[in-house]
Amino acid sequence: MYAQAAVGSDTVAARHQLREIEVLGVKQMPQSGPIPVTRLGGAEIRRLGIDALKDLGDIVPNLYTPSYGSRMTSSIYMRGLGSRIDQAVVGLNIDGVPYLNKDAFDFDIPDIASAEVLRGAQSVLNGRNAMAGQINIYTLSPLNYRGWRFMAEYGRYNSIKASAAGYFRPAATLFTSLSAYYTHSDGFWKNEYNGRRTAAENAGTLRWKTVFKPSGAHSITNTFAASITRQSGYPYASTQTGKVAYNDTCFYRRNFISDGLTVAWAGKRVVVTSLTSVQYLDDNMTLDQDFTPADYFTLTQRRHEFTFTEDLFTKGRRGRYSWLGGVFGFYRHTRMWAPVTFYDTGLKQLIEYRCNEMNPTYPISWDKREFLLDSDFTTPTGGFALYHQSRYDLGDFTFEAGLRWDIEKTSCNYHSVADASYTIWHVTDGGDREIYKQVPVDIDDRGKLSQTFSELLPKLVISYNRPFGQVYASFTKGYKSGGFNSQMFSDVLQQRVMELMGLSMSYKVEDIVTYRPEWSWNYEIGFKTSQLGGRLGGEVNAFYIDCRDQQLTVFPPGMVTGRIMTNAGRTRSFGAEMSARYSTPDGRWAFKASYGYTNATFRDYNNGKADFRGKRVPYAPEHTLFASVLWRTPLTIGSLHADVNLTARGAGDIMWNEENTASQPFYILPGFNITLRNDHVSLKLWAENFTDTRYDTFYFMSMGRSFTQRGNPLTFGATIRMNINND
Amino acid sequence: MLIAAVLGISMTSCNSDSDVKDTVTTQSLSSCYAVVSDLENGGKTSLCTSVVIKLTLNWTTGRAEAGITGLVIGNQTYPQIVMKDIPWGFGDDNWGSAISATPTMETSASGITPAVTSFNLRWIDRMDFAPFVGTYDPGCSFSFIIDGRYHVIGSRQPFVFAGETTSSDPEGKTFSTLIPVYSVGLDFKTNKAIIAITNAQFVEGMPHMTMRFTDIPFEIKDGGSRIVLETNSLIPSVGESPQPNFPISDLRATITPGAGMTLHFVCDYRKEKKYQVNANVDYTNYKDAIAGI
Repeated sequence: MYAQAAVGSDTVAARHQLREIEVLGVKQMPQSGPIPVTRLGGAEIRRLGIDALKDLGDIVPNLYTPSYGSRMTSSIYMRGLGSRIDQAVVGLNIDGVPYLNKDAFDFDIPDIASAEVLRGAQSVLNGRNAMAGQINIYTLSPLNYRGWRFMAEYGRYNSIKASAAGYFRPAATLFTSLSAYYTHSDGFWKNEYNGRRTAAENAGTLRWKTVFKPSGAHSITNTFAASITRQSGYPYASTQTGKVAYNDTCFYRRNFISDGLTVAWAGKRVVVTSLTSVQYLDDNMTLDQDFTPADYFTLTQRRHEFTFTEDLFTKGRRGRYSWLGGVFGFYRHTRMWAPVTFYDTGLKQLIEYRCNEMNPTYPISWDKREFLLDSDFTTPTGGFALYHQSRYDLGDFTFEAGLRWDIEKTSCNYHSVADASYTIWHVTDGGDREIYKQVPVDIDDRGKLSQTFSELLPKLVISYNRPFGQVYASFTKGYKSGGFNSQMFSDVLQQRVMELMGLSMSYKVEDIVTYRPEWSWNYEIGFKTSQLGGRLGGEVNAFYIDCRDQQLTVFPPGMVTGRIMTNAGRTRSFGAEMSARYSTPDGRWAFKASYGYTNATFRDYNNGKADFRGKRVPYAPEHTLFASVLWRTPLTIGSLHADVNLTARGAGDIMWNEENTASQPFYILPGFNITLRNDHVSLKLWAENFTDTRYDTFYFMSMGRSFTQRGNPLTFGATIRMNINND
Repeated sequence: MLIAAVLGISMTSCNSDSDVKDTVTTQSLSSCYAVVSDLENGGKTSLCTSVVIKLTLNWTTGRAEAGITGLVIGNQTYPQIVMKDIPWGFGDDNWGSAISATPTMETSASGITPAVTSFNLRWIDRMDFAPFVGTYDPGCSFSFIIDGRYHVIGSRQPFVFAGETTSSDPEGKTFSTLIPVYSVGLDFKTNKAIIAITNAQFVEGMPHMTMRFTDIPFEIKDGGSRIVLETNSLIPSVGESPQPNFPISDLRATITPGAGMTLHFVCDYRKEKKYQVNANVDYTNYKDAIAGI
């Protein structure tokens, strides 16, 4: 049967503990294949303070998960592939439930039991948007633990975390758990304009998991999760002043509900699993879009999104042959409202100045000093896939082949509205102004855009397995879906206004907002080993990725804001990853290190204004680094133990633009934690970035100005945990 | 066939043999004008401004039927002149042509059967030609002789052209672009034309804009074979705003219906620097204009 990593496990490789087995529909082959993977057990997750997906960055080689903006921003980069808006390149499953919208990736998850990050294209089994990898997070199951668990934490910047969870077995075949989690932070940065902290946060998560096992062969699991997030501000600082200072409101609010039902039946040689999920996302991002104290404009993006997925798959083994195959379908319906409001300074600088500088004899002025560009969209998306993967063991060799056929249709019904007017003045020879003409700006555009994508995604893997280790070579195709850049509609509307005034190019809306799928050929060789009973192990691998039609986020030139996506001609990415671990026979010392190198450059990308061939792909770091030294010792006081852990996390250098003219050099963030623990209680004192290293996690240009977000400064605190095990 | 499907051009099948179906499409070329020259009266010309051509193409037999309405020939008003059995085809330049020295004529409802000779109709199907993005905007030209006396030459307007626009400054530095699209509309009542330039750009770095040159006197010459626009000065408009900072002078344009337009003017940028602008544009280069967008 198929087990999770048990609670308390502290190894990179998963340990199988055959206790109450929970058939969660883990979509792995019956025996782990040659996939470059980083696995973290519960103890390590708690020691490193990993509460969310973003915390995995740098620990996993070539995985970069910068924290900037808000919880809506889940920009995940793996091996030079990534995305800042719209589609993700890395898939996320939590307890087997797929999360399709990366805007909902970032929330704290109480009681993570284990996490695994599969590097490289995982498209055969996980489909769309697993082009660079797949992250699977598993929470503690009531099958494996009964009792109570509590956590309280306090840290710098008035950072508070608290959780309580109960795990029960109300009947012989029924297991249930309920966990609640709350976090608060005042935020690290101050808005110099109003003196308030930016990026303050209040958030909470509720998780209810129920497992019904009428027999050893049947399992029904339902996982319900609800999270609420309230954040203030986006702490973007001007590179000129180094300060965060803007006058209009910025916030992010999110309500998210997810329910996943897994029904599994395990036969003698086959397991059949159905995984059904529904999710509802309701969020609102409101920004001072210019991030300056001046009244340029604000943007709101409100969304209601409903997602349904169904994954029906079987897996089995017969002698040397094992297989996994299934069908997957999804439907997602998004309703979004995205008004942009121009204020006095924005009207003057972005519209009036542009016209009047060219024509001082007939200057214009907007009649009202507040101008609303309103857009709303409905985006239904549906997809279907068939997939199969087979493995055959032939002596020391294993041959694996897989294929997925994926088809998807997406539409965008848009409605853009603007209702305003401006006056053309005539300045006479005497310098007097008289009205020449009053011109209405009346826009009411509706349209429908539609795209259909179909992909065949193959995979071939050969591995050679000996006691000294496993050597493998793989070839896979990855795929990231196309779509519509809804954030670009505000720019489309702005250009439409300028076009009405005769000051813009004519264009087709679909050419600006539509982006095509991105796909890649992935080649990899690697070596994995585990010796000395698992105390010594590691892996090393090299990869080459040929990416076509790569989706890139660029800012349009000139005095505009918002971003567009475009399909670059071609990029290539090559690199290597290494991870190693060693623990002493007495368990006192444990060493761990991982390193990733990625060289990702454009092979063919000309945006009509510049040729970026040979330039580094922006936002993806060239190096990632993680190191950990753990020392455990029993204390003479009762049954207390002490764990002292030193860590270092690093990333860089990172190019911020296609021109490679701005970058973040490589940086290292050292951390440490000291835990005093016995079987039921632990107290952890911790510090992260204790050298207070200054680094940036994000950079962008808006209206000719550059902004950055600074990475988290020195933080420190204390965490108390208590568990009362009823078994 | 694909164009026909996109344009919603009607398709019918007809054949006397019930086992064989012809493929037939019908389309309408509206907004046409025609210049009628009286060859027996010193070439005196008259103008018909509401001409419509209904073109029926039989793809199976390679024969076309052209029905022309709105013609006034001498003192005779022809509600419709229908010519049949005209060989037609598409050339390598994507122009369709229906040419016949003596097409078969259909007798009109009034019993009149005009004699048409030297019939020559050319048309080109175009889609997404800025500023008519998402619309169908064909070009066409036609000529024929009625009753051996009246020479008819016509076309469709507004004319929409694209091609190369070249400008040079007083220092001899040149700039060239394929992006601007020229739309020329003729007001036959006032004999004034409007030239609208979409995505106009005459200097490197100049923001693209929609520029209009209005009230340009025009003259139809050579029985309709050429249309000449000429003015010594005008103030262009961008949007609704006059642009006295970019006065235009020495504007000369010659339109050859069915072929293209040559345009020349001088733009005195901010009254500091005079740019000589030349455009050599035609019906078929619009794809470059779209690509540039």
